[in-house]
Amino acid sequence: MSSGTLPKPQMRGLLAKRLRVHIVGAFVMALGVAAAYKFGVAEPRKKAYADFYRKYDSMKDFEEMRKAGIFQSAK
Amino acid sequence: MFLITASLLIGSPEFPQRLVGKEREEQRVMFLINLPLGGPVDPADGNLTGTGQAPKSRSYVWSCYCRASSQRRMSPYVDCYAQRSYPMPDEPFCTELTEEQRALKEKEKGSWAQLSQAEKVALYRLQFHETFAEMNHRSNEWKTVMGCVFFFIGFTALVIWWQRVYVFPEKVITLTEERKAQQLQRLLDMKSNPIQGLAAHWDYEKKEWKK
Repeated sequence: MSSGTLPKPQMRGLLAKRLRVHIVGAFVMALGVAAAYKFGVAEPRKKAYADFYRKYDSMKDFEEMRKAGIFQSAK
Repeated sequence: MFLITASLLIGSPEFPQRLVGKEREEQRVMFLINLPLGGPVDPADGNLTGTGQAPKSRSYVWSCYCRASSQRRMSPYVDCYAQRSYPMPDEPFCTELTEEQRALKEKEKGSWAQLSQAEKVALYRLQFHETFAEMNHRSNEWKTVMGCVFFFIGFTALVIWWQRVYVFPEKVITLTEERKAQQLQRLLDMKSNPIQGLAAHWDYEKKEWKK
């Protein structure tokens, strides 16, 4: 046999090792992205809509638009 | 073809006469094979698991003939070269062996413990074109590719500039500043997207954009 100068490399379980690392990483990434979206985008949007409609007067809004002249059927 | 085989058996890498066509192709292959890349190494540095550099010295020249050109098969079978995705080609790299090589092959049929390091390396070189290190080594091709990509993007930019000057028709009247301002005013009057969008950023009391 050759005078081995290198240590024997990993021969088995290569896929399992990779999967272990990457499955954990995939879960973390997926949950992280979902959480970031929920708390960065979805919740602020819900709050913005709630705040807007809390004090919304649709008739006043309509009157402003009518005075601005954008309607064809209500001048 | 005969000339090449003859010079093979003599063991000399000289090609005294200029050949044509297929034979010239084979001649080129022979020349490339007989560069220091193709030979086995001295027992002193017979380490095949090295850095991917070509062996610096050789004790004897193998003249290997790659039969790729004579076959009508698809890669990877025909290239005689292993790839990372196909590391064990069907056929050995050297198929036409000299006497020494055939003797070595006979010796290989016995116990491998009797083979010296140089012989093992020689057998490897008979079987394979390159080591894994040589096969996998990086290249600078990416620089060429990126350079060409940027060059053509730049060229395209020049072409579009020329087109702007000489080809494009006049702009539509609705794209003038005055018209664009009128369109924006209408959008704000309609209160488009008043919660998170355009009208949400407009201050209707002060008639200006919110800070």
